[in-house]
Amino acid sequence: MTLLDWAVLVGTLTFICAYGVWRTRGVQDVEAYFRGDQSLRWPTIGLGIMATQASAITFLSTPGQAYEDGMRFVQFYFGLPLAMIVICAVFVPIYDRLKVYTAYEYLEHRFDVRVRYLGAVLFLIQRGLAAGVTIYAPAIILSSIMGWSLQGTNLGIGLVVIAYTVFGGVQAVSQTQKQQMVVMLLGMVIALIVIILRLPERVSLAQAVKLAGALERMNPVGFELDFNSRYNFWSGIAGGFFLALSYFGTDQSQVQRYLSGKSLAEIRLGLLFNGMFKVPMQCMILFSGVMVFVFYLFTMPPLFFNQSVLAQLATTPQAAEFRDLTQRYAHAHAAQRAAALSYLDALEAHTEPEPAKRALREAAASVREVRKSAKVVIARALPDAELNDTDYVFLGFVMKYLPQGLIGLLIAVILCAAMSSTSSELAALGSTSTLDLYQRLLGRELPKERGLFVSKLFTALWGGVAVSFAAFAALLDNLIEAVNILGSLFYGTVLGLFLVGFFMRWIRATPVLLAALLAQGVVLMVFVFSKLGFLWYNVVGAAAVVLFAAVFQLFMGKDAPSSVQT
Amino acid sequence: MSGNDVPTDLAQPTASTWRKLYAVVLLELALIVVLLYALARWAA
Repeated sequence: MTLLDWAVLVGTLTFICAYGVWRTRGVQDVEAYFRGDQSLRWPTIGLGIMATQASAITFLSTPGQAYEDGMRFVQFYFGLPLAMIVICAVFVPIYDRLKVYTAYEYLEHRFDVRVRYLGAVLFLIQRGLAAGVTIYAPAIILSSIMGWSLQGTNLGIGLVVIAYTVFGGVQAVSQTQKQQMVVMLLGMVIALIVIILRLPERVSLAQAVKLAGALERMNPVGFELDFNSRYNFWSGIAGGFFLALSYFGTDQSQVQRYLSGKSLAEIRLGLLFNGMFKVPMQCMILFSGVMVFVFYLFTMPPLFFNQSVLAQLATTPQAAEFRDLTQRYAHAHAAQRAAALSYLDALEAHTEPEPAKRALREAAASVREVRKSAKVVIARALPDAELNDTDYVFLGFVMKYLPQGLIGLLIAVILCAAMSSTSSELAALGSTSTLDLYQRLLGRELPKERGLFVSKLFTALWGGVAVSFAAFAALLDNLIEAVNILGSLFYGTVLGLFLVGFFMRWIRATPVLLAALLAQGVVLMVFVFSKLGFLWYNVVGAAAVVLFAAVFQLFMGKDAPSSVQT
Repeated sequence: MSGNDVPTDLAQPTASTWRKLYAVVLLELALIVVLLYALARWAA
């Protein structure tokens, strides 16, 4: 990175953090700390919701995923707008009427304190672990590409977030997220424009899309009903809907974003803003990855994208074998480039393009074959090395081919994303620990100053847990999927609790509690023993809670009455 | 009260306005799916 990049990076991050701290100076009680001053307008709420979900993994993994697998991941988000509508119509009015601080507080109003504890504990487990991954994921990639120390990067990201989140609570999170999301959107739009401009002169945007289509990268919608396929229209609409309903409707890191809204109308508009802009934003990020793929059809990419693994490989006996493969790769890539140009010629000449397309696909298969052989060699030389290098594709491209200044901006985008999602998670973990567990187990409301101290302490403690988990985490298959799979294991059950609460008023506390425990067991069994696509776990978990709760209620009869009818 | 001070309740959208907004969100999603599908068919 050049001095200009460093200036852009440090300047952007310092401004955002300083602004957040300055805007939230003087927060003196738990209410302001956890709900802000309830003055947020819909743009801040909407951007905050988007910034919370958009972690660094979104900007690192997603383009890499599109590079390798095309745009089909976008279907994951198809259920999100539907979920926003249900949350606006059903969830938010209830939270607003009960004036809750946390989503799990509702469970006590509707059922009893045991159900509140269960919801809170399930949230703390999955979100506590996920917070570690949201710090670790960018740290490992940044440290590898930039040559920074992994533990230093973990600590650097973690400490900055802990500092401003502990200092300013929810208000600091909301104020910084607005700026962070603007930087993220701006950075990605500029990056996409630059990527397109870097395509060879003779390749138009339409031709680039045609090339991507010929090589199965333009595959954003698939209507095949395959339950084992991770991303298709049906799993996106159904599984994605349940996941989004659970995440935005019951996960405290999101609920806290909109509970600090000025009014019910502002909250609803903020949520609908997210419903309208999320899918286009993901399309843009995935399309950036597809354009990087097309760029690399004409410029030879590395045989393996994780350079730190290659540096280790160079010291092993397999280094020579890898060098031979690199030569084979160069030949295969040259053939693929020629085939791509022939395909474009056929398109321009309006002749039958099928033979040229077939030749291009065969050439691409040869390139894939060499890459596969390279991974076999790496696995033999370094048995513990991570062979999935897609998370390194986008940042590797940024570092090598983007102009000065823009590199700093893109690194700022990634760090902003890491900090925005982590800060929401820490604030939510802090509020849930303080309000749903500590204060509730204590049985009384804490005095103002002590309450604030305990809240800050829990937020800092969770920050410590996240940084420690990040320090020991190992690189999982694909980082963004790992976080989503982890979430999907628990989200269905938590959503089931809320669905029973909202829609099945005849069901009482004990049946729903037993149903949730049993349903969680079922989801974990499905995870271990079946190949079901992970998005369906959300449907299975929620449906199991609803079904078991109904059955248990029928058999158990009367239970303690709910304290509040909602 | 100045002329610009509108009571908050009067500024709240009605149920029918919300239903229209929800319909807009659904329509946008449907449009995106159709456009993406058409783009994929054209590119393949």
